[in-house]
Amino acid sequence: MKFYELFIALRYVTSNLKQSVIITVAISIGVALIIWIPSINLSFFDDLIDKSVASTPNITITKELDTFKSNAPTFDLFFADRRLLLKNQVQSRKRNIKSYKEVIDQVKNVEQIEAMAPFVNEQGFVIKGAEERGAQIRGIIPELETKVTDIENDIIRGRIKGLGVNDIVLGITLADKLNADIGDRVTITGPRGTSKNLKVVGIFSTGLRANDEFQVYVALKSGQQIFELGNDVNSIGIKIKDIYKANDVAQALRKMTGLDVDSWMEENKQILDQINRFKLIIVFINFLIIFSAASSITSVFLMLIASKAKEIGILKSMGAKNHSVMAVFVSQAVSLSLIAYVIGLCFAKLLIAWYAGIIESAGETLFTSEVPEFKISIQYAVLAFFYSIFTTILASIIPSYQAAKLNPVEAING
Amino acid sequence: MANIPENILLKLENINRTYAGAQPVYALKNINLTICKGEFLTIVGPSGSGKSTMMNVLGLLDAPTSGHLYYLGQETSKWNEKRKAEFRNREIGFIFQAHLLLPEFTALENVLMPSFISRKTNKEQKNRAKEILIHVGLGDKFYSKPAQLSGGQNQRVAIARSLMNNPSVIFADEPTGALDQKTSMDIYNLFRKINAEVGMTFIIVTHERDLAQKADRVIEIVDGNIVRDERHV
Ligand SMILES: Nc1ncnc2c1ncn2[C@@H]1O[C@H](COP(=O)(O)OP(=O)(O)O)[C@@H](O)[C@H]1O
Ligand SMILES: [Mg+2]
Repeated sequence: MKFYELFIALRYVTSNLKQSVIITVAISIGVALIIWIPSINLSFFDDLIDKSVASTPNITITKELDTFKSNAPTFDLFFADRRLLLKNQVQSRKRNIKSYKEVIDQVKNVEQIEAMAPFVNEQGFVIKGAEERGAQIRGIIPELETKVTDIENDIIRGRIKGLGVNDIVLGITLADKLNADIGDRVTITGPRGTSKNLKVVGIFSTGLRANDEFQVYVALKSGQQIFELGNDVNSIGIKIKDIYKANDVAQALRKMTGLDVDSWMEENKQILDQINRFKLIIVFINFLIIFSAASSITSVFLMLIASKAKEIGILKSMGAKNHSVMAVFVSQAVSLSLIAYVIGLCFAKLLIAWYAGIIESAGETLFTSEVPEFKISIQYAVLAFFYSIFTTILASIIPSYQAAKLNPVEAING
Repeated sequence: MANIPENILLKLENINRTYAGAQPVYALKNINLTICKGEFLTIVGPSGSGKSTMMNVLGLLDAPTSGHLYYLGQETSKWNEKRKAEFRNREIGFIFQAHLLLPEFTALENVLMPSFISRKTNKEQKNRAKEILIHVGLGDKFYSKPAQLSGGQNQRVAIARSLMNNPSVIFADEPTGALDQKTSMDIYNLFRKINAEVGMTFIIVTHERDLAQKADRVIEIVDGNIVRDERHV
């Protein structure tokens, strides 16, 4: 028996069931909360980011140094009065890239860039019968656009590939509101009144409400016509390898081209800031959880060790060294926390499933029309593991140290 | 140090143990004593006379306030806790009035505890533990927990445990104080038997005078002083 400390510790775990259960429950609740709370929130945030990132280019080059960003569906747009917004923009908008091929040539060797797609994008109206709706009209080259965004995967009916000059692809919500389906004809009108009659060839659903209600896709040529842009485009969408490098790459492109460059991170700054704020709050919550778990461990161990004083005395009289006595109790605590971690992990999974059930029965969230997939956050599961071990060591170390320091004579007589 | 003969197990020179406080207690006063290997010795004296203090000092559980304690020729006052712990594990067995067994462990595991602590437990050690348990009359109680055994049986387990690492000396502080007369006698005879068989030194505190008188040597302590030290042959 090389590690008799562990042998004694494990026997204490199995023999002092009451203490073991109290400590295990305390730690496993802590572990479950530490995993559960971030998991459901991060699932939600990740989903939001995934959907936002998937449906817009990671980076967009536009010409105009205009702070009003509207080429991506923003939440501002979702909440604000859309018509008013459109009117204001009609006057201020004038963004075109005359020779987008040159710009593409200029930046194509920049590191991180995976694909590029020129497009035109402005606000306009989609009309079917008596229904008239404001929309982001995006004129694209479908073969290029599908390399930059995931729109192709979001098509639920019809197609986007091979989008012709007389075709249009609508978001599911907009299609519903217009009562339009594949094969129906709709009219789009640009900000300067130019309009065009198009056939609906595809319907998409990104799961992101702002997109599904306001985004429509037409062929680049059609967009150029109704926006009266000639052969110019007003944006180039870019897909990069590491999406979290978007700000750096955008900065580099800005320097290189002198054009206005936006990244998805800036577009979604609100969500990203919210996530960071949330992570900060989580640190605080975790601290409270750990603190309460730790204090229960400490108090249970103080009682346990007090009740074992005589035994500790006899162990020391038999030659057990101080560090061994300490190791007995610390490894008892650590063994308990390992058991508690596994229980807590299962508990967290149950809580996540339960929560997912509640959300699923609602069928939608504030920003998304589809429910995110709630997954356990591996990051926080790993964190919880180290938290639980670290906390139990910390919480048991003071009582264990007291045990180790017991004077055997006093302990035996006491 | 060099001139302490081989057969001397323990030598005390001017040992004092004073418990500090508002009213200091002089529990041991200038004790001089030599104990040889293989002796069977009892310590008697009234309650509060310093017997337990003496046992704890001799057993390296407590340090004297002044004086020198030699063990097998070595002066112990400079030893650190770790060295004392190792020495206790190897050379000293303790038996207290309460058996102080670990209630979560079987009799066999309790007996093996000193060998666990020395991290040398193997098949041989396990067999030895069983042999000792058989020797103390608990051949059928290997796997019983302390709660399943009587007071006398538990004290036998404690005795077996003290013997486990084959120490040079056993300190027993009122080992039969909690037991009935018949059981006390049995245990006393067990000590004698082990002493006779393996020559292990026994130092036993008892207030049962007739038991004490059967020892080879009786030391009487009164008020921290040795007032009698007689040998029976
Ligand atoms: N830890 C202690 N602190 C103060 N005084 C003590 C302590 N332990 C023992 N004493 C005192 O020392 C004296 C000897 O005690 P002890 O050795 O236990 O006697 P005995 O074992 O012979 O009954 C007593 O007066 C006792 O009160
Ligand atoms: Mg006493």
